[in-house]
Amino acid sequence: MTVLDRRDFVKQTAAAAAAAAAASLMPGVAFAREIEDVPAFAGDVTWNKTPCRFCGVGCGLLVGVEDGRAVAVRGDPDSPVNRGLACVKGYHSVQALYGSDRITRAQIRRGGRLVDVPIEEALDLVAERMRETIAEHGEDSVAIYGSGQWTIPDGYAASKLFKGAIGTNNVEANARLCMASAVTGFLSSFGADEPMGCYEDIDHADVFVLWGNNMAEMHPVLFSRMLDERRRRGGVQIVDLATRTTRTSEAADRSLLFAPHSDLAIANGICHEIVRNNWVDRDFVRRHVAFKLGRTGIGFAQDGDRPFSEDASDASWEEFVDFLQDYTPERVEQISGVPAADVRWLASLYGDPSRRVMSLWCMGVNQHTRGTWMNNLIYNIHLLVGKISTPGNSPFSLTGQPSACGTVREVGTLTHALPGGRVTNAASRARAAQIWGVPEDRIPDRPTHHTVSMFRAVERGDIRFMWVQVSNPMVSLPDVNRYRAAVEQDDRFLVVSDVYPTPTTDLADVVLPAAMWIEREGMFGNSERRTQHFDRMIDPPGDAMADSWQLIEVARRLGHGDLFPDGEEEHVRALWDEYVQFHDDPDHRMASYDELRGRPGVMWPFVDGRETKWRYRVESDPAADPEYGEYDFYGHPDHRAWIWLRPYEAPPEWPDEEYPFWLSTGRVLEHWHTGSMTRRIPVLHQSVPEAYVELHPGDAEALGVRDRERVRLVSRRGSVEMAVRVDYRARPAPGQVFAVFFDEDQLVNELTLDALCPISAQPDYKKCAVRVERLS
Amino acid sequence: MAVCSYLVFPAVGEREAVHAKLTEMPGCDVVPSTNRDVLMLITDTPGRQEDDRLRRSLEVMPGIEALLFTFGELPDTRGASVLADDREDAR
Repeated sequence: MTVLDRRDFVKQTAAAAAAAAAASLMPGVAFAREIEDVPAFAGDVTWNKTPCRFCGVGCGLLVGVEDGRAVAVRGDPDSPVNRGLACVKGYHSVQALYGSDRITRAQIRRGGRLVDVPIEEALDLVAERMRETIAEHGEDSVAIYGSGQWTIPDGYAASKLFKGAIGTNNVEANARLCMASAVTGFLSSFGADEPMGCYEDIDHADVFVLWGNNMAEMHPVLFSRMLDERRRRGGVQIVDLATRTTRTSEAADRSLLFAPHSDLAIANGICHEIVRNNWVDRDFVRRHVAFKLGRTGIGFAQDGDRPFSEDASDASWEEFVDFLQDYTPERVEQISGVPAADVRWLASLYGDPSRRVMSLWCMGVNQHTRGTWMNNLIYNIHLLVGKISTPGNSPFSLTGQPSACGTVREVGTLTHALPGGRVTNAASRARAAQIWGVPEDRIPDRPTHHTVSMFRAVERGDIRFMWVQVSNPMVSLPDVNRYRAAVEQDDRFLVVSDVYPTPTTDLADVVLPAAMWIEREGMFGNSERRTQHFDRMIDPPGDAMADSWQLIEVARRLGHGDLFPDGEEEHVRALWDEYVQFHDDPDHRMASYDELRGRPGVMWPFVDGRETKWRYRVESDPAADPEYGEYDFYGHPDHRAWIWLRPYEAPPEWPDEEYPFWLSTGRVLEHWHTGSMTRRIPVLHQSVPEAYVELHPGDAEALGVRDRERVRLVSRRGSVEMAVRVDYRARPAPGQVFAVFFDEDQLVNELTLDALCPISAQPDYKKCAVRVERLS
Repeated sequence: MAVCSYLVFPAVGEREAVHAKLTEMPGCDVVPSTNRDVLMLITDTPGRQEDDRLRRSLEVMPGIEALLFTFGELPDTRGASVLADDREDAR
């Protein structure tokens, strides 16, 4: 084949991919030129399906492999998630495999420096130190900390090793930092985790209300589906409720800015107006809703606070209506800055029976000291008007990581959880013991530490050995100076499995080289309950090994080898086949291994060969019992969804004379999380090479700083220097600044506050007080 | 060589202007839809640096509401050494 032939072939393939994506997104679309349908699997390139490595949307990609290297990417037109589209991170994802500083050898710290060693030697040392630590300090002195980027088999192996074999509930994951409030929100409102709807809701909704959610940058493919619906159908509206003006605001029909933390008041104000205008779906509420009072004045789970326990009691409709009297639109305007007329207008969108409404949110709601309450309040709105569990009527909690749902929430890689259950529940423990083949009393019946508490336990010395996989806590923890010092203590032992050097591997006693994404077989579970399988397409570099297999190798050295599969090639299938036994119920049944391999993802509950798109509605959910009417919220014993009376309460820290600005933190389109992968991708690194802080132009002028000048941000916990950007991509409101957190050399988490939502134990990365100092 | 394809969604009223601007850009082959407000864009550049430059100019082009990637064959999948060098220097 000549060079010219090959180029023409590739261009035809590129055009065919675009045409397929367009046809999938916009059925009936026609182009001015006929596009030849080139077989995607022709040529020297072998194509295989995989979910994207990055965010929680779970876009289906096809990766082209030639001569053992991943050389091409296309959006998978068969994927119902993205319909052939991808964002800039998806396109560049395979380049993250090939950074020049990939960790390819195991390393052990000797004489203060990490030195390469054979991986067998490193695994021996990990097992030896675990055994010694347990013998000296007990099972609860060892811990594992993973992430929502663990594949499902990784998280399952970790949970089984630590909870079932060793006998400690010291298992946590960084999804605690991003999704825990979503989980506790679902559990308290519905008694069961994860969304009732799916992305197909986008095709039906008339109104999209984005609660603190910059989807144009964080979930661009889903946002493009919303934009397309607006183009295609008349009357579709996108409403951006946010604390800063972003690309999402610019594309939205309305952008409403609110004061940080005041979303609690806005949600209650919407409910107030729905009730006052008699927009309540009374029949739905009467049949399917119960009202609950919970504790108030619950603090922020800071040092010394007792673990939270809810004290729920029944409330009446009249009590609910009385509670809402504090949230008149005028009162909400005082708290939030959103004009009373706009609060009424928002309520009218939800209240109009002719409009289908989708609410979407992610970190703005979850990283919040009242994150659980905010999740509850959004559900309250939808439940009041009966707009739930039907196409286009959907409160939808988005996720940020590719398997925050699949691994952390469904496998249950959190201290209180077991696969499909809780450690405090005797039946859950009995089932786990039976499936795992361990004594029932091996699994402790009490949770130990949530994530921040786990690092506080390292600080105290209650935990002496920690194994970190697929996570970079020395960039991502709040108040990170404190926890870096905790880990650096001499008698703490840190093992880190990762693909690139990070500030966390810098502190490690042992570094294990990890196989990344398509270098090993695995499964991810995305935001819409879709489990997606991917094959090993290329070989990992050097001694790199799947996290799941590292865990099994250490388990074997600890004498627990009989609990795990023997063969590396078959271990993912074996772990999956064992894991799905935990979900063998109509409300969570998973697809078989073979089903997953053959399809672009499968949504659970998967019953009798059918996916469940809308849960809790008898018509669409096989687990819903018609005895309870059209809907059955079977997660709660009363088969009802619960509306919680959750008030507005003030945040733990306010701007004051000394620290006059609100600081919010987050991501940018190009970089994902702590940047350890996306900063190895040349174009992404060059596009946004370092962290920056956004200032409002008026504040910049008052401070006498110009775009790109450097400033020092100072909080009560630390300081960091950054470049200022003014009207670069987004504009914070006056008195607020926004800083990105991906840059390990400019750690904004040295400023953030380790105050948590006491119910979910999730930190609030969106609000703390800082001052901005001009650097002369 | 680097070959990519995109779907380009112009902002309301900007379709013709975006079409014209893209058509003038070297390495860009534009195929407009005849019944929807979307343009198909196929880019063909000599290498990764040119591809990166072109993409960055597309991302900031006025009148484009959304730019969605659909295909890319990469000229070279070796990653950056910049960050590795920076980390080495810092330590």
